[in-house]
Amino acid sequence: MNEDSKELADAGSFGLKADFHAHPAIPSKELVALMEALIRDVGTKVTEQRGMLLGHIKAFLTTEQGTLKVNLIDMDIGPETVDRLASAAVDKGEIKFMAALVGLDDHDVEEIMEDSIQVLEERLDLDIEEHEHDHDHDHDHEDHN
Amino acid sequence: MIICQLAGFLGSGKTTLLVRLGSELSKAGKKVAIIVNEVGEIGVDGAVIDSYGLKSVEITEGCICCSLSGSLQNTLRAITREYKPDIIMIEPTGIALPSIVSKLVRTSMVGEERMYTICLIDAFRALKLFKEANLFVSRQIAGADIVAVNKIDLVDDDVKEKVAQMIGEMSPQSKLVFISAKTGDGVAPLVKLLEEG
Ligand SMILES: Nc1nc2c(ncn2[C@@H]2O[C@H](COP(=O)(O)OP(=O)(O)OP(=O)(O)O)[C@@H](O)[C@H]2O)c(=O)[nH]1
Ligand SMILES: [Mg+2]
Repeated sequence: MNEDSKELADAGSFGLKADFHAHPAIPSKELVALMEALIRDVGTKVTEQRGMLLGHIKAFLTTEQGTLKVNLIDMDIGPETVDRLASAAVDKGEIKFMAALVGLDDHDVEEIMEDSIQVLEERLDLDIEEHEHDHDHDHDHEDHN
Repeated sequence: MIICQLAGFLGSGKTTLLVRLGSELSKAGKKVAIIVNEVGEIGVDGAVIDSYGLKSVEITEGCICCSLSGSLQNTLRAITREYKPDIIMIEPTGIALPSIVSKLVRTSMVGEERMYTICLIDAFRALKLFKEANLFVSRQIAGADIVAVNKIDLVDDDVKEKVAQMIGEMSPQSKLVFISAKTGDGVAPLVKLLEEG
């Protein structure tokens, strides 16, 4: 396949994963608000930069007390949250956070998201799993067709 | 074995529909396997799907319709051989071309009895999408067996009609259905289709 659909769609993406700890434990309601603020912050920055938001910004949190999912597609609708946290407070867990956006390249998306993640760092200790950057990598191990 | 691709632009509701269909089909006693692809280095959807007790394999860091086409075919073969599912559902990224994914499924020779491509379109954003990314979105829709106009809980009949008309022009041979993956409205016929093959 010579065609790259990501280029065709003129889209960029970035994703990151982090373990988090909260000292003291963060009330679930506050955690929801914090995640929504994170996602909204990305949406606002994208809109400022591109004049529109076309794509998907999403985060998923896994904790021993359940999960929390926040998605943003449209600034008028705002973040949409599915809260399946079963306890009143959370002290640790894992966050997966990604975005794919039209009109931005991978680097732009990464910059925006890394900037926005500071929203969380005021309340959570984050241990971000850095992904190896090797953008020119050819996926030669996938070359079976 | 049935293979069903749930395609559609970024955020159109693929994972939401997939979780709903997967849960219904599992309840009906079907063995369901899921392949989900995310463009980013780190994906979110695999974890979301797993949290609903479904079985998924997540392919990340590229697109299964281009750079990771070999990975898709190998994963299909491995799942078929080791898990022997009744149904395999594939969620490509929101920026994949479904027609290429179908071709890759067919040439991977896993012996499926039937393959369906369902392409979702977000009714709430459709008119904006047709304006801002017309060429790409029309290529995604073209040739789908079923185009599912999703999120109908967010729009009125007027918008539904306009969207239907535009899709009719882009892919006249596709069957058109109106659904809400969120509320479950209109989803039962899709469950039935996959249940019966
Ligand atoms: N109101 C409404 N919202 C929906 C519906 N279906 C999905 N959504 C919401 O749309 C957002 C995106 O849904 P997903 O299922 O993650 O979309 P997707 O197509 O899998 O997204 P990507 O994999 O990132 O391309 C979520 O916030 C969903 O809750 C629907 O029928 N109605
Ligand atoms: Mg998805």
